[in-house]
Amino acid sequence: MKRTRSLHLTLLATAAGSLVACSPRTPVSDYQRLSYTSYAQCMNEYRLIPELERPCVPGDPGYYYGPYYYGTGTVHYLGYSPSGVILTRGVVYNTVQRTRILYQEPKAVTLTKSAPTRQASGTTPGTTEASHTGGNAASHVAAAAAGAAAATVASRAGSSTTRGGFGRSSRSSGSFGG
Amino acid sequence: MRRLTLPGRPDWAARLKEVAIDWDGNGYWQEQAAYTFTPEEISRIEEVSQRLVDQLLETASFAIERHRLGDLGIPAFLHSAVRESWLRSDPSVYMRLDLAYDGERIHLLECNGQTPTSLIEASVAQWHWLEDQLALGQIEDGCDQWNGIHEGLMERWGEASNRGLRHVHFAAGESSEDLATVTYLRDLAEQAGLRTAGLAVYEIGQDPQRRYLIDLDDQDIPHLMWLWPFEFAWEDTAAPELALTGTRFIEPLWKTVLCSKGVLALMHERYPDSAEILPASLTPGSLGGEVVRKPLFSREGQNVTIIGQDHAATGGQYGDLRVVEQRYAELPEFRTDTDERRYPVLGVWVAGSTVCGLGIREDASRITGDRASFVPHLILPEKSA
Repeated sequence: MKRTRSLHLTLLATAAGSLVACSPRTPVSDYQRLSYTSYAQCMNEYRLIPELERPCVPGDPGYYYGPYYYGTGTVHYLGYSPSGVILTRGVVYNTVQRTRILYQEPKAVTLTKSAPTRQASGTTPGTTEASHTGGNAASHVAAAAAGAAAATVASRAGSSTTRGGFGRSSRSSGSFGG
Repeated sequence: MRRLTLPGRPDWAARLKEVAIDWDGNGYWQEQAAYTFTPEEISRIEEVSQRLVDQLLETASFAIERHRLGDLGIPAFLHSAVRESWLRSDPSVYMRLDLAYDGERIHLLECNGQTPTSLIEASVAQWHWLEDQLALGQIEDGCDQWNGIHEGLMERWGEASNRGLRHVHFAAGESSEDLATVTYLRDLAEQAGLRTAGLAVYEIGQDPQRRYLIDLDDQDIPHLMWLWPFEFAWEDTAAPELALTGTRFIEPLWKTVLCSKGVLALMHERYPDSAEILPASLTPGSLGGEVVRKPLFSREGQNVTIIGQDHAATGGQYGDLRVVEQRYAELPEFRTDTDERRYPVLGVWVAGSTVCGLGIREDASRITGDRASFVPHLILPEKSA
């Protein structure tokens, strides 16, 4: 069957090159990061994500910052450049399946001014609760290392909506083919 | 049908990237070769495939009406919802039949009813290959391709729009391949005039107080096209939502019948004299002789066993499921220019209920798995065929 017209693919063409597992939505305002009292402690938390570039950088005196992240269950991480700039290429880590996929944050953003920082729970005195509903990245990675069975995506504050009820399968990681 | 060896395009990788294909590594996209067909061969494959589609749909009706869904491995809590989906005629956009073809005999191997992959390769990339190779003079003027997939899918979205569909959410897992496929389908839907939105499968929300599944803006999802297997979803924590929600799935719930390889046994039951439908049974050992044993739900050739002279077996994640046995149909064997064996499977694409094009995957094994390559095809001009 000879086609008489060319194929128009506006959306797909626009997406080409940026579909490396980019999330359909990039809630930049949801990013946060944790602080640690030692570089070794910080690096140890992200040892299961070797593709993540420079996950830890020096912060305030006596502290180190972990990567920026958002999400629970499936967590998006952004590391740092050698000069400490937040990278737009990162890793999506699925804490249940322990899969890691590279992704590209579509927008170059200056996260350091807007994204909150909180101390990794149980590691430093004076831990304060963040004002948003994101989870604890350190606990996700540690939970995966311990073989935790599942994680539940947090609900929005004041909403009875739950997320993460679909999207996991022990039968496949990555594309499932068919 | 023949297998040609020919030079690839100098810019083949860039051409694939243009349509978001980034999973072309390890020889998956193979354009050092092409399969050729005569116009008569393609006409016959098209005619037989259409008949098989009609028989599959009739068998789906039979399975639903005669309460055979349990035989197919579909969990009981979904049976009513599947039946309602069928009675409502919830629209289907696409599926793919996998066929064995040796130049004479055509046999249905299985049906990928809900989440067929290699769509962009078949619909777009191999068409670009044909246009480029014609322009480069690598293939003969007048060569054609059985490829109305793009137009067929667009028509399906147009028909859905005519039935009142206005807004569709598209969701996929996290692999770039699945995201690209969903983006392509979304592109077609938008070109057909539908409004769309996107989200990841894990981001779909549920609320017991609300009728529909919920998107990231807390809005209802009346229609959801998700590239996520129903058999994964019914094992997940939100599984009850499949039966309870007012959200209409695309592909629809009635497609679970065609996702199950058990439908091959029901087809044989319905059409025992068909030349294209292989004998198949849900009772292991009942067929005897050379058979292929497959789990009712399995992907990428996992947990498949050929019992007989050409014995082969694969491992996988589906070994706990009930099986169907199907009479073994030998795939044709071709040799590469380095004398390696290749076994092609024809993937006939279906838009709605109408066959519309062809994609071919070949494997070095008789069981087509995730290491198979996609190889483009062409139809020779009448004079040289």
